[in-house]
Formats: sequence, structure tokens, C-alpha cells
Amino acid sequence: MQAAAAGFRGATMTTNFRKGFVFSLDAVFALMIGFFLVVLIANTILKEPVAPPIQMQRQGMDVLTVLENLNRFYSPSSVFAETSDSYCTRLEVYNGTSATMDASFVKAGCPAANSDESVVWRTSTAGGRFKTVKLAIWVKK
Amino acid sequence: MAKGQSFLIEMFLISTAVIMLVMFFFLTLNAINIYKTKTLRANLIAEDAASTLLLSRGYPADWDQNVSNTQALGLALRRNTLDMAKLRMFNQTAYSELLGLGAYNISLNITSGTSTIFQTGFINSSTSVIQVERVCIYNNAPCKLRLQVSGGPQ
Repeated sequence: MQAAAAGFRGATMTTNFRKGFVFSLDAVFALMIGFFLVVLIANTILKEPVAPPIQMQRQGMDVLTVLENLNRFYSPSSVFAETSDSYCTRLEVYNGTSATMDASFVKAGCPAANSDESVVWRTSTAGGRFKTVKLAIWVKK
Repeated sequence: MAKGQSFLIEMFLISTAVIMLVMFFFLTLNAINIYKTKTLRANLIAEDAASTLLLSRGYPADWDQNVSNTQALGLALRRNTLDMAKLRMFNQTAYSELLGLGAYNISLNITSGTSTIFQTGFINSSTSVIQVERVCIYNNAPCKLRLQVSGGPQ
């Protein structure tokens, strides 16, 4: 009887040990699922809205049209100042179809370039000469 | 038998808790997505309205001569150049409806440098505001057209 009772107590201890282990595994799984869901929601909420390329293209077209109509390819700062504060712009003017840049201007307070810039091209005339103009536009970080 | 019962109760409680937790998370995600969709829709409508104002003359093209006959609004003399006469008559039109923004509060503001050329409409600042800014020409000087949209259909 004593031996049987000791065996029974031993079996009980073994069962309790196993139960504790299973509970920990449950907790780990629950935490993993909870963590996954929290990350999913946080990612949805905190994702920075990115200006669609079409919006930047529109802004770029606006700037080039205004520069062309006001004939300000060589003094674009007052036009750049009217663009949205959240955008940076860089204008490059080329002679004809030459690859050599004639002039370059960057909006005040912006870096000279950005890896995510969107580019709009236009051909025009300035001072009676044929020009190719490139406008790069990107969201200010 | 008692041990089996407690296991079942534990399973039931845990299952209920897990189902409620998952439902809570997915309902939250759904609410966020609905908010984002509404914001995106308002953004697209505002972008289109700003383009219409800035790039088109409206219909009829001389709508400023007979405001009551206006079918589509446009403030352009030519692309990106604002027409002073049309700007003067803008407030006499049902501009929100004509721009497809009848369900929203809108504000139109045109500035050149630090001076305000034109301002109309009202925005409730307690709600989220969509803002579209475009570069324009007014009186041979560069200007900024700012269209703000808030509210919208529930």
C-alpha cells in the first residue's frame, strides 16, 4: 500500500510537472499570436502615407507650366516658393538635346537630390533657344 | 471526473477569451481600414476638384457671364492661369455641389507670397482636413491654390 501510495504521489508530481510545461507553451503561443496582432495593427496605423507618384507628377507639371508661362526657367525660386511645403524640387535646364547641364536650381531648404524623386521633362524655348528642362520632385523628409 | 470538468471549463473560458480577442483586433483593423478608405476618397475628390478649378474654364466657358447657367466650374484662363473675372463670380455659384463636394465642408484659398488673393468657405478644424495645394499664375505672378476638405458622408 505504502509503495503504491508513493507511486501514486510520484505520478501526481509527474502529472503536475507536465501540466506546468503545457501551460507555459500555451502562454508562449498566446503571446506570439497577441504580438503578431499588435504588430499588424500598429503597422496599419503607423504606416506613413506616401504621396502617390501621380500627385507628384501633377505638381511637377504645374511647376513647369508656370515656369514656362512666366518665362522663369532661369529664376525659378519665386515659383518654387509657391509649391507645397511638403515637397522639394530641383530644376535642371539643358541646351537643346545636349547632355550638358546649362543651369540647376534647388528649392530653398531642400537637399540637392533624393532617391525617391519623381521626374517630369519638358521641351521649351528660353531666350530664343531650344531648351530641355527636367524637374525632379520629392516629398520632404 | 472533476478534473475533466475543470479542463472543459478552462477550455471554454480560454476559447471565449481568444475568440473575443481576435474579434476585437479584426474589428479594430476594420475600423482603421474604413477610416483610411474615407480619407483616400476625400483626397481623390479634392485632387480632382483642384485640377478642375486650375486646368479648365468650366462649362459653359463663359459661365461668369451668366452664373445661374453654370454646369461645371473652372477658374482657368488657360492651364494653371487663373481668370480674375471668374474668381470674382465664384462665390455666387453653388461651388460645393458643382465641384462634387456637396457632402463636405470646403475652403478655397489663393495666395501669392504672403498676400491673400482670394478666400472662401469654412473648415471645421476639429475634424481631419484633407489639403491639396497647386501652383498657379494670377496677374502674371506665381500663386498657390489651396483647397481644404473636411467632413464628408457618414
